[in-house]
Amino acid sequence: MNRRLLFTELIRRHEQNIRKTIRVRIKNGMDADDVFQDLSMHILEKIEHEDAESLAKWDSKSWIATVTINFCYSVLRKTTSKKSRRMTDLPDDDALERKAFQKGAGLHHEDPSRSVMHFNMEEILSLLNERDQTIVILKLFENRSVEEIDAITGLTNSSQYYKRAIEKLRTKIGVDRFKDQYDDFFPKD
Amino acid sequence: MKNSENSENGILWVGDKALETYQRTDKNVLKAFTNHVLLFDSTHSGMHEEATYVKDFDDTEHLAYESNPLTEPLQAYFSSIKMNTIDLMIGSPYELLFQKIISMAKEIESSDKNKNASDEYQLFSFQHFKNRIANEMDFSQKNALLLNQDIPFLDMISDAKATRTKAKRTFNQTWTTLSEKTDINEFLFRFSETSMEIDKCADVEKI
Repeated sequence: MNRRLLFTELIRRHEQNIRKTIRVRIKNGMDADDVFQDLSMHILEKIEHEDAESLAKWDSKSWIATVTINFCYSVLRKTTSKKSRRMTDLPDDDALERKAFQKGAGLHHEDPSRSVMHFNMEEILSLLNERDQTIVILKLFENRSVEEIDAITGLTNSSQYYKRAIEKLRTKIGVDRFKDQYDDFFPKD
Repeated sequence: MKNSENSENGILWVGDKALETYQRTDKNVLKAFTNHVLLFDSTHSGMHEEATYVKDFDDTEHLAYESNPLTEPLQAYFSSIKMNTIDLMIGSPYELLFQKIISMAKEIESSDKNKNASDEYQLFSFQHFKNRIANEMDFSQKNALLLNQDIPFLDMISDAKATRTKAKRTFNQTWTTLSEKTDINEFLFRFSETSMEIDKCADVEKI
């Protein structure tokens, strides 16, 4: 199977939707075209290395949307992280201001009472089946109502699927173990 | 398959799979034909000297790779080449561009040339185009070779089946390659010679 030809056909068929999804999310002066090119390379690499049995999932619009959304978040995360790093590289002439910035920007690595854990959204969502992934993305990232999700997915009880999907994710990630790392009296300001 | 001694055999290679096959085909075999290579765009297919891009026939900035938006640029492309010299169309039934061309050929073939006389007064109506093209090229006298591909996607498989059926009903003769890497040198050689039986060609099957 020539996977490159497969990719070309696939990316062309979904290009309009992918571009639309990117445009909605990438707004901070970044070039959506560049993101589209990078995403194309990312999808090509994934398709070339995908198991033959799993390849069929790339035909699904919701899967492509999932990958696109995750990629956008990853791009945004990288950009934000670069900006944060640039800020911390400021000359040390105003230590007080810098300290204030660190608190405000949420860089808690110097605070032992707090811990930060980074998740790869694509990996986490892959723990769910395709239907649940679509529901979670529509609900969490696109802020769609239950009625809209029902209409898009053709389900009549998407809220229940959503609830179960979130419960499943909580269990898989082991959210409860983080409770031990935070005390309930941590000031909210 | 020569129609007469002096006629020029033309092949229309449509899409990326066809381009890949064209590039693998023996140059001496290709010399027997006038070859036209049609691709959607250069973004994913790359720039190829021998190719014509559908996007170049479109006025809008972003031509969608969907059935309806492809109609007008393809009409413009057909008008720009000598369609009556094309004897064989080669492409993958899995590719939307080839599917669209087969659908247009089917529509042209099955439409009543004299239908709706009022349409004649519309300068750019599709009916007007169909009538003109139908006069220029008779698809029932043309042939098609469908290139096989291993595709894991159910939607594409079902579209390809429908395209096969349309092609079979529209064209004079339709063949399909039996595997993805089929060498079509022998097929084209036999096609260029009226006396040789194409159906005996290995790896290619008449449908």
